[in-house]
Amino acid sequence: MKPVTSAKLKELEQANWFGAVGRSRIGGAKMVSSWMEAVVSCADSKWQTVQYDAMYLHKLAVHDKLRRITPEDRYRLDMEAIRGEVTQGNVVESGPYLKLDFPEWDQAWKALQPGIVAMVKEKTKAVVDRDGLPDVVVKRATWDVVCMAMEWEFSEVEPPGFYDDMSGVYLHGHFLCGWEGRFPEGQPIVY
Amino acid sequence: MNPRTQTLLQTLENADWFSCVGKRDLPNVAYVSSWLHAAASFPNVEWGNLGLQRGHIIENKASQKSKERAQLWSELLKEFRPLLNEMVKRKTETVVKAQGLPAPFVSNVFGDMLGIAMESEYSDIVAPDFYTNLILDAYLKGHFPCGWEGKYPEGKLIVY
Repeated sequence: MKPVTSAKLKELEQANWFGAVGRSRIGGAKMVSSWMEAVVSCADSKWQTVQYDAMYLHKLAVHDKLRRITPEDRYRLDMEAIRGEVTQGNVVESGPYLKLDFPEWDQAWKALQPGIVAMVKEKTKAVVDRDGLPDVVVKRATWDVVCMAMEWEFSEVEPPGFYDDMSGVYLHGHFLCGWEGRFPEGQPIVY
Repeated sequence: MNPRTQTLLQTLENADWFSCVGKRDLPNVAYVSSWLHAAASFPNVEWGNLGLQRGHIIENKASQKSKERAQLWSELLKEFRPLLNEMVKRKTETVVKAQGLPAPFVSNVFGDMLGIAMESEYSDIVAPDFYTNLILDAYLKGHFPCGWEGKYPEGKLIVY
């Protein structure tokens, strides 16, 4: 793990998780006012899609920088991949998820994930137990922190983006539970 | 509307909805333990799709048995929507207020009621199944059906 990732995770570990839910506001976010609303929002597959899109777009940017793939080359490669899928009669998803062979990313993910799973479980346990929160809250928060760590881990290649921006939500004691609008336009939904 | 559906809706009207949430008194179901856990199912695509798919199956089977009856499908939906909308609003009002349940909860209950009514309308030509045996039963017994554990038809209904 890079020192920057370790330092940022330490900050998160020292934060008062969910300590400000329902109390203060986060600028530029749509706030919800109860765990009920937060759970319904975060369980929505639309939010899961935004979470995945944000991760994938960053992964692609890191990959292309490392492999010295220009935006023109990226366009050409994507078009070739789509043509290949269509020629084989496969359905091409409307999302941006084309297969990306990127072992450095996969290895870093595999190395970071177990520690983050344990950390998020520990940091959320008190509130989960007190308020009887369902698993989906911990799942969504864990995904967010793994993606933050991945952005920090590759920050020498590509400046951190979406998830780094969202780390403030957790640092300030809130829960990131959705997205309003058509990503990347729009704003986060926060409890 | 068929008289048997009228009777069924009256039975639903008289039932004490959500009166047994939190109790574990039904056989062969899985439970969630709070409204908050049930809430995670409101936007759940798989659960929503299962309900829609069971509705399509009733429509397809009806169409195989009787073209004439199947042609009435849209008309029946039109007839049921306002009635059920009104009933669901009335029957969920108290719990929505008490628990702060959001709009998707009411939409889910409405979808369940529509499925129950349509299954009843066609029950003389399509054997009642998902909506009557599982969903209706849960509501009449004071619970809220909120998911499926396993791969349908294997597995169990999840209720609160």
